Amino acid sequence: MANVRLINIDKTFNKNKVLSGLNLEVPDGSFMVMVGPSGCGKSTALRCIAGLEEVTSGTIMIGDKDVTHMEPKDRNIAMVFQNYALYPHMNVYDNITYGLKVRGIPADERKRRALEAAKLLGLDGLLERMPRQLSGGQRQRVAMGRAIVREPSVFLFDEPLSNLDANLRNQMRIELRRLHQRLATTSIYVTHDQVEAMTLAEKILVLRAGHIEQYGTPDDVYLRPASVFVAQFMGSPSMNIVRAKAEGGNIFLPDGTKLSGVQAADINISGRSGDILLGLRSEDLIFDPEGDIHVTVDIVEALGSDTLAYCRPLSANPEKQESSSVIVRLQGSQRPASGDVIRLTARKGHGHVFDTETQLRCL
Amino acid sequence: MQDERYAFRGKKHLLLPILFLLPQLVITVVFFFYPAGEALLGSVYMEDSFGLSREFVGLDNFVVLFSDPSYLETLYLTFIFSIATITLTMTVSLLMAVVADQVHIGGTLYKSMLIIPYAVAPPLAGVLWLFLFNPSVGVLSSLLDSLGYTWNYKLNGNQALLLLIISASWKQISYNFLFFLAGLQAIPRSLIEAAAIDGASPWQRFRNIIFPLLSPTTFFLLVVNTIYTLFETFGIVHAVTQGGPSRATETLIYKVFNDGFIGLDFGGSSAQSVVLMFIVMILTFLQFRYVERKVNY
Amino acid sequence: MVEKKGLGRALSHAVLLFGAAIVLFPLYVALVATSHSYDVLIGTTPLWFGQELIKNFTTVLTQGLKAAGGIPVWVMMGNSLIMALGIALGKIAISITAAYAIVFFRFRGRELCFVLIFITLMMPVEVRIVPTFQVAANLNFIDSYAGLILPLIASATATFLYRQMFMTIPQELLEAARIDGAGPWRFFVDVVLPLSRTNTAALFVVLFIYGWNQYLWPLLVTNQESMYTVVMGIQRMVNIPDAVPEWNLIMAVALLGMLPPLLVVLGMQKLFVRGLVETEK
Repeated sequence: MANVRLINIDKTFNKNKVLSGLNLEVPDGSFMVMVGPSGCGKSTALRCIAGLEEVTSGTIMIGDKDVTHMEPKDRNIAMVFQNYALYPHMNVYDNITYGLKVRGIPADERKRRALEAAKLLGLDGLLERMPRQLSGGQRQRVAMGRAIVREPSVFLFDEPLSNLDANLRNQMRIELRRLHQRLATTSIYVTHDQVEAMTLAEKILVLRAGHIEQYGTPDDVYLRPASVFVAQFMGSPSMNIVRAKAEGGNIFLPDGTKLSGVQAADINISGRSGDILLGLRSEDLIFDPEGDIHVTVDIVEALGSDTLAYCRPLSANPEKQESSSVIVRLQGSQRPASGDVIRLTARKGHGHVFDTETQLRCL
Repeated sequence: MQDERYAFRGKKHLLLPILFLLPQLVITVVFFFYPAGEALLGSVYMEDSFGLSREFVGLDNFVVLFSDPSYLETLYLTFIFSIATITLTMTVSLLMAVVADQVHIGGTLYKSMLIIPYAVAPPLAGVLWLFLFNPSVGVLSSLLDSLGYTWNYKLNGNQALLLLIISASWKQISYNFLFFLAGLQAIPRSLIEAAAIDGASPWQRFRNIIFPLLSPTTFFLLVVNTIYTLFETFGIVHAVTQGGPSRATETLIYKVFNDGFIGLDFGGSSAQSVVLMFIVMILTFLQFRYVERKVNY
Repeated sequence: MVEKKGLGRALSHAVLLFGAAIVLFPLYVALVATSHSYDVLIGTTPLWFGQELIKNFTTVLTQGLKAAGGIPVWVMMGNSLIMALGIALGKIAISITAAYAIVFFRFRGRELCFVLIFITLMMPVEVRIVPTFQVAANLNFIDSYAGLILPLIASATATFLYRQMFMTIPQELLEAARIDGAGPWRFFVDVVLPLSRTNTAALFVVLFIYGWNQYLWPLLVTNQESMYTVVMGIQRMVNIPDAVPEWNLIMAVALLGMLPPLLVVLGMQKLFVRGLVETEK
């Protein structure tokens, strides 16, 4: 068991700065998810922690050990890969115990740990099978078994579920949580899937172009996104961001509509006036015959449990709809038709305000 | 992402790759680069008849070589031998492969029989055919005799050459057959079926679809067969005719051997070696150019 | 399917039978000749078997041909076997290690090593025969197994094959092994060697035949008859000055000389075809 600390990590590939000035601490026993669009540096960060890449500068601490220049095998970590990386010529048992064998752990101890892990993961009957005889989900489990038997102080996961189909992914996600509850080993998990991030994490790290955009609990990240980027990256559909004006405790849309639902006071910007970016999640716009926001419905997606309506403000030029389109989540039974004009209210207290220049959250 | 494969790097991972590369490199340098260099050097020097001193003569050895009518004859002869062998072996093996590709019953058995010559060393292939065509004991020579055709490869240079061509082609059928068959089996059935539905006759299907799609294989085999006829047939020539009668079957490689080891003319033989290396380099280059183009499709 | 019917199918079989006949006829005649005594062959070889088959095989195996030095053919076959195994195993050993160093390591000069090895691709020993012979002579390699084997085991082709194969090993496998604690040697022994097993077997089959069938090099590098290989030794029996060749015995030697590669080709046909097609592509 150990915490993981990154101190001023820089990583450069051929003069490209992939990570710059990364500082963070993953508390002992917590499950941390690194999320971000592809190319944001999350995999590189993970590989640096694993020791598969050398950092350009900075320090990596696991527990109270400085591991910055250690070989992967000396860092007491285990890693689960996206494509599982099982040894194709070894059966499940040998795959799981190879790391123990290399480390010179006696055969009976290897066996004990392997059987324990197999039981934990439901691999009991499969130990003699070769990887090619296993389904994707089973391979995934073997990959995890290989990590578990090592009893490392940190688990590293590199998009471990992205090769599975949607159903299996949901199932494995739940198993992962259960496993973590049981083992309580510090885990660092990389994904580009924000649903995985929200459901698995105790802490989420949102990375963008090699620096930290936000680091906090899932609630922090979802309810108080630190920037427009985080606001739009986390949550589906993406948060609506509209230009607005704050004036005398009220918020006005560009067409002059004064919002009644969202008051500056509710969201702590009473002191502020001038242009702002207003963020409203699709579920925070409510269908309301009395509402003060008038929009035209463009496209309707009925998802069953709810309906997504892609709308544009009445004032907008229909030719250039994409710039100002707003997504509204309605109840499943509400089915406006394309072309309808509907009226909406912003849910009280649920707006997010960002600075137009820095794109950062205004407190 | 990274632009390179993950690998062992750094000082602590230096010893093993050196140890692992060393045997291959030592052998390559000692038995390839050094002799090739010697051949190149030798080709621009002239040794005196006792081998005591040598004198730099530039390209003189090559000038002498290419103005020597006997070398030009050898070039011409090798050319004829190669063309004839390649044509014969490729035609027969393509025919066999096309037919074998369509046969359902007994296909494996035919295949097993047709790959037998691959196992037979070129000189042994030569000896087998030599026996069939031997004027005093041969089955085929006595058949020719009874048909009124006088066969004696020991006296008739053209007959000797023909005997070599037959032996060399026979030996190489397996190789060509296997590659043609692999090439044919890689052609999607659906293409041929589509052509059949379009109303193409079997011949048209072969001519317009199968043969063009087979062209990478054909080209590859052309290069391999050229190298085969130029070099690997040495054993056939040496075991069967020893270049005779009166040099009628002296191919390029046989002449290098003969001049170098029997005639002990090191400079001239080196120049000939350099010419051969040059030919191989051109063939290799062609091969790579072609492989590259194939990849870029 | 584009099926052939009746006449077409019969024609296909006729063509293949004809091909098989061309291939088998010389072998059949050789076998028949071996089964006769020497004097029966004069004039023309009969086309059916005689009684002397076992006797002639035994004679050449144990006594050889008197006119050609009288070295028993089993000695020659032993030499051939040592040479073929030496070449095949040697080529595999130095190629698999060289390819491993080139693919799984990064160090200065790696590219140079790569170029040095691959420049020799397709360059048969025949083209540089005279200077190579001089090197072998200077190294005292004449009439030695080292001389028969070492100059022929540098192989860009096999190195190239292994390199191609290694590059298809997913890089996560190496990463996983490193996290599991395996260094370069363990990764080579525990992962890379087992994964290349099938390719190595296929390559071995092809290289064994290549080694067994060598001719020009053994011709140059052996003087003592006891070091002759069977493929090379047979020419001494055919071209005996001032004597009529004993064809029944020569054919027996020819058949014995092709027997091991033939068994390999037919017995391991699948592996052989795979090895052949993959080494060249």
